[in-house]
Amino acid sequence: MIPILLRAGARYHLRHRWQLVLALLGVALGVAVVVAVDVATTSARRAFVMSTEAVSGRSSHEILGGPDGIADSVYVRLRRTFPASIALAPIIDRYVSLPSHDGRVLRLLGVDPFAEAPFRDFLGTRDSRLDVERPAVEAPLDIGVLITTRSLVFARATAADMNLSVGDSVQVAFAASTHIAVVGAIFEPRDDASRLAVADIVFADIATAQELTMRPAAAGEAGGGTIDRIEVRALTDHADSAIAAFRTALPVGLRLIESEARAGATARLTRAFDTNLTALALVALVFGMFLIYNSVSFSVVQRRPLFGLLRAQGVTRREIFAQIIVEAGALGVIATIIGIAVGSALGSVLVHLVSRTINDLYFAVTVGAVRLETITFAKAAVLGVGATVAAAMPPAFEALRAPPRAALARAVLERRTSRSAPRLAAGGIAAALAAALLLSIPSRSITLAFAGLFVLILAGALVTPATTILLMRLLRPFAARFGAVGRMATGGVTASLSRTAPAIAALAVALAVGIAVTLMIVSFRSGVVRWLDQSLQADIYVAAPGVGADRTGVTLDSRLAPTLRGVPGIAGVSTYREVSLLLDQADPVRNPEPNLVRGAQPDLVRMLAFDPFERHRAAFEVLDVPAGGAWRAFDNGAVLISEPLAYRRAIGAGDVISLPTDRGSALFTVAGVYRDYASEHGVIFMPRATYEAWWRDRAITSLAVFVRDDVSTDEVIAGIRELPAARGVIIRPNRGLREATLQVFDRTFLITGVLRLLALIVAFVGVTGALMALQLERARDVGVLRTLGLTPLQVWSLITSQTALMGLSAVILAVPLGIAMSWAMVHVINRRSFGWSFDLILVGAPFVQALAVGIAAAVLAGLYPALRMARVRPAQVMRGE
Amino acid sequence: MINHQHTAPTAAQMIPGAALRKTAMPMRPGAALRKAAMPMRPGSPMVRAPMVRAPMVRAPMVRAPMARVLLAAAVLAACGDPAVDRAPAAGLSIGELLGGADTLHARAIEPREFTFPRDHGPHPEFRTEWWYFTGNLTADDGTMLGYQLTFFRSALTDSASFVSAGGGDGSAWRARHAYMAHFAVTDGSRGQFHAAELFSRDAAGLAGALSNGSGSGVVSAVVRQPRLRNGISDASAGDVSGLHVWLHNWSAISLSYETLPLRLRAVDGNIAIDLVLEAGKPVVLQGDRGLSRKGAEPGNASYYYSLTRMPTFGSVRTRAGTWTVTGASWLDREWSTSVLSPGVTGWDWLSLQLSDFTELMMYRLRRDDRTVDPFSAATFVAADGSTLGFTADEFVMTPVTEWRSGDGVSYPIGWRIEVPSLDLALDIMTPVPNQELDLAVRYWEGMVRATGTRDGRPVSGRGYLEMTGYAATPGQAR
Repeated sequence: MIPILLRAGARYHLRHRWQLVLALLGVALGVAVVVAVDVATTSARRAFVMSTEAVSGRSSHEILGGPDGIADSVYVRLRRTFPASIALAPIIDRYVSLPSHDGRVLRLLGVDPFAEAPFRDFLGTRDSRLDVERPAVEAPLDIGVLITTRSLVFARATAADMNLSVGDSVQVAFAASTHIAVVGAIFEPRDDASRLAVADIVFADIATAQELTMRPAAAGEAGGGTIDRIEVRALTDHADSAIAAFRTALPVGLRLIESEARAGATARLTRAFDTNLTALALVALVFGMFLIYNSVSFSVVQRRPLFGLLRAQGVTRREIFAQIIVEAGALGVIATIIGIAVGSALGSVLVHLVSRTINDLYFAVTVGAVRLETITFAKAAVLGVGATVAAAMPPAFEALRAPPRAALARAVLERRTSRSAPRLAAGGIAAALAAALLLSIPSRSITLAFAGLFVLILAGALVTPATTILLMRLLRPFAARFGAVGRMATGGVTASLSRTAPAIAALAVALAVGIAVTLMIVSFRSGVVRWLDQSLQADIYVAAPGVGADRTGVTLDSRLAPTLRGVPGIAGVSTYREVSLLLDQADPVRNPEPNLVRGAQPDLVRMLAFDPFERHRAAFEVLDVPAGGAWRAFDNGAVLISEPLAYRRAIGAGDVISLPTDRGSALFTVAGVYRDYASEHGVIFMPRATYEAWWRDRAITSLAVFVRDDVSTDEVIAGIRELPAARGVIIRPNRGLREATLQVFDRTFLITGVLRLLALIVAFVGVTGALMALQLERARDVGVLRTLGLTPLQVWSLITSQTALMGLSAVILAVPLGIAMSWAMVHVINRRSFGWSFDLILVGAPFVQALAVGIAAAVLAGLYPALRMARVRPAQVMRGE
Repeated sequence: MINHQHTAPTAAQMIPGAALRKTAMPMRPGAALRKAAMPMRPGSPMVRAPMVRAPMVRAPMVRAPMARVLLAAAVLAACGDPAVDRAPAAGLSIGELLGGADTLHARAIEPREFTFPRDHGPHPEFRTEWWYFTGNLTADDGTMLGYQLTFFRSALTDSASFVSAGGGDGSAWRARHAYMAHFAVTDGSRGQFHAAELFSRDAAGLAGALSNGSGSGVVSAVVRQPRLRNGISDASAGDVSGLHVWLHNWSAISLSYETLPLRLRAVDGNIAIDLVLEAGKPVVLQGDRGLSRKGAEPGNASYYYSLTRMPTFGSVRTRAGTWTVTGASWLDREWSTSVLSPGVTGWDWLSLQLSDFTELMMYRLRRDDRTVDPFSAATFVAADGSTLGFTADEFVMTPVTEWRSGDGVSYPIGWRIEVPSLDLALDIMTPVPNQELDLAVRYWEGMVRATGTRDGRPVSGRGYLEMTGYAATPGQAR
């Protein structure tokens, strides 16, 4: 590397500061968006994983019972049958809210302190990651108090956050009931990791947890209390064989699964969601790459005379190549650093959106802290610097290829660019075909789908030069009506194609993404609205308030359904029992489901035991109807499954699905596949009678009430509210539920909207910068024109019309590209990510929006250079020669 | 060993703070507890959490304190201050821990009328109670075996507080008592010893004690539990006949409506016992008609009776094999609320079944000034079941040989005992020096043999020796 080259490079960039700033901004913003999304999704995932690890401790396996949990007596029997070398811990694991403390949501972990040691250390043994509060500061962790009184154990930070100390009372709400509990102890986690892990966990003795989350009717029911699961760990040298022996001795209806299986299934719930966010973020980075390419090639082009001179004086090609790459690398490093800083800040904003969506749709998670992982830095560095250097490669090669003399001539480059336009266009068409191919491969890979989408974007970029030339040619006759200025405007766009094409491509892609995302959301939303209109047939919905997506433990008072039927004005009632099922893994022995994809991991799905009022059946749009009708099959005990589940398991009407019941694994016939946007992981509707035949559970999660036509809904709601069993439940009229659902929908896509906006800002900044650079570079041309007699107004209109033409080209390119991308998003990416289908709806708004944004960006970008150049005194510019 | 290793941490969690506070004071709890805490073996921390070398008291009342001290120690360990672990444990303030004014539990103040079988069952109005089975057995091939199976009950709170806190109205897991059990088997012929412990709560059927005629809160707690259907273990599953004491799968269960015969079962890894204890000699009321004073203060006493010779048969499994055995067992029953006086640091307790069909129980309480506490006592049971009590100045227990554990704790495992008025002199020795229970509470308890003379005639015997408070002596531990 020759120092003088470096100095020359630095000098050049310092003289073109604005250009440098814009390029930096482009890359930095691209990196920032990627970092922000990464920070948001990894923070949410990390918070979940850490609290899961804290919760499952060192258990190797866990025993799952039915939806009504595991009877205490089952645990006691196991504990009294198996030797102590099979460590067992009874667990109650529920989300509760604390009305006395702003409704704060905490994960209540009920444990038996005497069974805890092999699993967790939170209740105060040494050697753990956690240390118990010193008696000098607070009461020592007093197991006796935990067992004999209704008390809770908080981590110090959590307690401090809520201003709690030992002895304070808190209200604990679960489902429809609220109880008072006392802060029994406070412990101090030993290190930051533990502190984070337990930040939203509150511990209690299993008796307390049972009392706080006991179903209203359960207390009076025969059979006593239940626990949620039993953790298992073999404390022998031959753990595997001990576990195997233990498994065979388990009563029917209890499943022994690896602890990681359940946590993994839960963690996987957000995988498609995360992938989609990341892909959107990458789009922003792709814009960043356009900008880099643009500004590096720009800087190369501008310095062609210099490089030519240097080459003539004996500087080698390699040295010039290295110079350009080093410059790009430095640019990339600086931009990446800025991008990481901005991205982290942005990430802490995004994380709230992300975690809210996760809470709405997947599972309860509270992100206590936004953490920057090393992997995020690594990704940002690789993407930022790598993308910059990669984008600098073509111009660097360009500078390399030119013979010394030719390098001096700018026209040579433009001629070559123009000449290569057809070749690029051919490449673009090839890329478009490749994209079509990639997208139509009958695979389920989301990555492949996104690869197709990116190749599609590439295709759009490649055809840009040819399209632009074509477009300008078409416009020339029209422009010629405006005289020389008009002709020059169209000519100018094609004449400096090496610089206009990337700018147009970047703008076109940004606009296309905007169009595509908007079309996708609009189409999806209209699908959801239609679906809601159909499925929300009942007039009133009654449910217990719950936290998080799993409603298994949140049930209604069992007396509510019977007494409800006595409320005047009710035509009929449907009952739901919603449970969360961990479907079996593909395993030919334990799961005989023939269609199950080999190697499939266990899925967490929602199942609803459904006892529909006759009119309620119209709520289902059955997509895959068996001979004889879906409802007849349903009435005969078959199950309806939602479209995503059918997609994921590759099953349809008439097939079977294997479900874990209280009586062991059983096969159920699929009555039909119905349209559903409620869960991307699948929903199963099972006749209540079938459910009761296979499960012991008799609870009801929610009710749908049909009101007689001659009675007002409000009257019936008032009647329901008076029922003693309805205390604390949520009663929502049809409209309320519809609105609430759409609110969740809109919240979910809020983050998509934010990302789209960010991508557009990146594109806008980049395009503006590129166009400004372009025009400012042409200062000398303008000087010549002025000398030749062009008025300042003419110069101004020349420049603005040129940029406007570029904007127009971008918009025209963006329309087909946007439609193609939205098609891919709706029919390939959404389908593969979430399993649901909906029709692509072409509405005008996004196109109008794109036109407005595209032209505005272009004109705005032209304004400043136009103003400046219009003011330029020709003599001054010419003198600079 | 599994059990032993992995349930150890549980000790730290068995901390009835409330009970502790009531028991221990008047003293700064922190300070006293710190002193009580003994260093623990470094070992793998995960496997072995807080081991506290709390000195124990075992005299009559002494075992009660054991649970108590254990809990106290656990609190300490839970505090997790490494400095505490390193500090030499000062003379244990067992007395302080076990003394104090507890007005919420019943106390043993004057002799009471014992009613059986009711009194074989639990006395939940007292804070602490135990069923302490030991026995010497002989296999067909002459192998000498010994066992210890002990159930300790410890109230976590008093009944009034429990009820006012809503206990008993909600979850079946709510418990007022915790149980701890120790199980040990000695193979005297091979010199092998194995010990394990379990902890649980007296609720939901996990642990508890019942007997016909015991209409206590403990019973109601158990009755509340769901019945075990298809239960493999039947204890607690319903009709209480005779005596039921159990913790998980360790149990002592009457085989009929009568307390005896009683079936003892316990298993830990490949060590197990399954024994039947039959009625033998009658109940022996220790001390003054069953009131065993441990200190000068009124109420520092326990109710204490023994079944000194129960013919035993069954099977014992050790690492070396399974044996059909016969022999004799000894049951110590004791309940109390506070027992020890200040200054008592530990005790040496001995039970012997002699070849002339007599039995001897004696204990000496050791004080921090190395003297023998005047409340030490002994009881001689004649062949016809009649008893003679002895006070501290009427017998002598002299340590003769010492055994030092791996980490330096010395126990006097050989003794010379003399009861002049009986013309009884015996040498006590053990075939297995290492019978230290290295559990959450550390003590030595094991099979011993006795040889000597009574009235000039040779006499021999077998028995059990318990020594506590040694691990806590300053400078000895680690």
